[in-house]
Amino acid sequence: MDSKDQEKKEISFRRKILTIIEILTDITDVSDLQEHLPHLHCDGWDEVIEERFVNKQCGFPACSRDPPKKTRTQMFQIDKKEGKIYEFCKQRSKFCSEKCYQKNLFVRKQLDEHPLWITGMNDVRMNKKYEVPDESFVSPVPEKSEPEEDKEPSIEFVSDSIIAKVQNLKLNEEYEEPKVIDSDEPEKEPYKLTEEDKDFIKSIRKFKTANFGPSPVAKPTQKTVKPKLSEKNQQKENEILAKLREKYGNKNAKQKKPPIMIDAPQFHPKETAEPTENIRTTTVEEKYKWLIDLIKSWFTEETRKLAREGPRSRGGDVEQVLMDFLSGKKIDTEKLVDLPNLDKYNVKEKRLNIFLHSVRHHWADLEARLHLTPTRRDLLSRVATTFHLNAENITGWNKKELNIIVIALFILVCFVDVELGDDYFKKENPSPELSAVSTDLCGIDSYELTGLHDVIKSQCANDYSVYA
Amino acid sequence: MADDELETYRLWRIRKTVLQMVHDRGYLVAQEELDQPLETFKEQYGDRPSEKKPARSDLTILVAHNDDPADQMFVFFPEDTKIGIKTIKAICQQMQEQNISRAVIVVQIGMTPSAKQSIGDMAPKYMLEHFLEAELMVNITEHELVPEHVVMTADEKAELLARYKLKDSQLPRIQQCDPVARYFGLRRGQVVKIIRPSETAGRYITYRLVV
Repeated sequence: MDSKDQEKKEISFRRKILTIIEILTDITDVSDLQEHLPHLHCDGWDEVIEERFVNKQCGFPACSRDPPKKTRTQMFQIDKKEGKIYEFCKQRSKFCSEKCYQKNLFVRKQLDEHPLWITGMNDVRMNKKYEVPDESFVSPVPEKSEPEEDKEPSIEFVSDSIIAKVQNLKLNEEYEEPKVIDSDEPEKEPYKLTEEDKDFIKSIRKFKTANFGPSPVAKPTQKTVKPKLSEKNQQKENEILAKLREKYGNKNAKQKKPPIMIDAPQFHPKETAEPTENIRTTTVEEKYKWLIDLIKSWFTEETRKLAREGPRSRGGDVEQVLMDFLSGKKIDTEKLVDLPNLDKYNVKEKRLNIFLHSVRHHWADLEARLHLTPTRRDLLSRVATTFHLNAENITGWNKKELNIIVIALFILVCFVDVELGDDYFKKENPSPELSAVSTDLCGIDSYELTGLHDVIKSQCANDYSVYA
Repeated sequence: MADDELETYRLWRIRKTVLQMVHDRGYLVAQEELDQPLETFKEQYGDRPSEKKPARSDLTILVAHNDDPADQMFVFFPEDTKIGIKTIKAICQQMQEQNISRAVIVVQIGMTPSAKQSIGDMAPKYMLEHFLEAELMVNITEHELVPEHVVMTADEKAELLARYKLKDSQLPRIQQCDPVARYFGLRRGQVVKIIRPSETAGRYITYRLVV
C-alpha cells in the first residue's frame, strides 16, 4: 500500500501546486510571493507566467501593467549589417518591460529545479531564503530599444575650427601665410605649427609628391582672400616659412620617382609680330617671317613639281608609273606599295585632315569673296596632299594668322593652276579684286601680296633649280 | 475580405463536425442542422468573424441526450486563442449554474498545462473534453481507412463478456486518447465494437476495451 500512499501524496502535491499557480496568477502584492515560492519549481514558475500572459497581464506576478499587445509571429530576426540571426524570444514578449523580464529571471534562478512531488517538503527546500525583487530592483541588463527600430546613425561632430584648419592646410612649397578673410573678425593669432603638424605635413607631402608629382598652382579661390596681417605677424610667418623651406626644401631631390613631365606643345605662330604702323619700313620677308618658315616647312619636291607642272599632269597612279617606266626612270617600287599602318590611324592622312579642317572656314570665306567656282575648290586639298605635314605645322593659328595663311595658300594655288594665276596674278601683279579682299581680310595690300608672291615663287623655283 | 471568408468557412466546417460528433454520441440534433449548407450558416450567424459577426460565443451549442433529456451537453467556443485556468473556471461556473455536467471546449490554438490539469482535477464532477479547431475541420470517422466504431452500452458489454466467458482485461484495448475514442468521448472501462470489412470473411468484428 506504500505506492498508493505515494500516489495520493503526489496527487495532493500536484493539486497544491495548481492552486499556487492559480493564486499567483491573481496575486497583486509582491510580498505575498515569498510564502508561495518554496513550493514552486522552475516549470511551475513558467506556467504562472504563461497563465498571466494568457490573461493579458504582465508575466511577472504582481505587476499590474499590460504586456505588449502585438506579438510577432516572426521566428527570426536577421541583422544584415552584423550578419547575425536572432531567434525571437517568445518568453520576453510576455513581460511589460525588460525590467520585469529580468526580475523573472532573478526569481527563477532561485527556484528548485525539481517539482515538489518529487523532492517532497524537505527542510532544505522549505527553509531556503528566497529573495523577492521589489520596485528598487535594478535590472542587470540596461533597457534596450526594440531591435527593429531604426537607430539614428551616429554622427561625430567636428568643430568648425578643425575643419577650417584642415582646409587651410597647405602642402609643399606653396605654403602661404594664413590670411584673415575680413576685418570684421577680430584678428587671431596665426596658427602655429606644432611638431605633430609638421610631421603630418611631411607625411602628406611625401605621399602627394610620390603619387601626383609636384603640386599644381594654388587654387584660384584662395586668391580672393586679402592679406591683412600686421607686419610683425608677417615677419613671424616668414620666419616659419623659411624654417620650413630649410627643413623640407631639398625634399624633392630625394624623390624616388621623378615627376611626370609633360612638355607643352610648341606654339609656332606665337612668334607673330603684331602688325605695326611702319609697314613700309620692313620688308615682307621680315614681317611674315613665320609665314615663310611655315611655307618652307610645308614644301616638298612634290609640291614644287605640282607647281611646276600644274594639275593636268596627274593622270592616275598607273599612268604615272607607266610613263615613268617608258621614260626609263628608276622606280622605287617599295614606296609605291601601300603597306599596312603600324598605328591605328594613318598619321599622314589624319594630319592632312586636321590641316584642311583648320583652314576650312577661312578658305571657304576667301572662295566666297573671290566668287570662285566650286570646280576649282579641290585644288587646295590637292596641294595640301603634297605638303610635308608634322605636328607643328597643321593647326593652332588664330583668326588673323589663318587669314594670312589662306592668302598665302591661294597664291600657291595660283601657281599650280595657270588659269587662276592668269586671273589673279597678271604679270606678277595681283589683281585689284584679290588685293581688295586680302586687305579687307588681313590688311595685306597689293604691295605685300606681290612680296608674298615673290617669296612663294622663289620657293618653287629655288628648290626646283637645286633638284633639277 | 478574404480572411473573413476563410474564417467563416472554417467556423462552418467546425460547427458541422461538432454537430455530427454530438449526434454520433447519441445527442439530439435536428437533421437540417446537420445538413446546413454554408449559405444558411452565413444567413444565420453572419459572415464577418473579424467584426464579431458571428462571435465565437454565438456558436455555443447546448444539446440533450436522446434517451435522457436531463443529460445535457455544452459545446463552447472560447474567444481566447489560448485558454488558461480562468477560462476553464468561467466555463465550469456556467455549467454549475445550468446544472450540466458535460462540455466540449473547442480551442483555437491550445491550452496551458495548468488548464489541462484543472480539467483533470474536475473530472468526476464536470466532464470536460477539449478539441483543437484544426482537429474538427474534418470528421475523421468519415475517412475511408477508419472502420466503423460502435460504442457498447453497459448491458451489451456484460452480455459480450458472458458470451465469451471473458474478464474485461482479456479484451483487446484502445487508448482513451485515441482520436476515435476522443471523438466518441469514451471513458475508461467502456467497450467499443469495431467492424471492418474483410476480404475473406466479409466483415471482421473486434471488441476493444478503453483504457
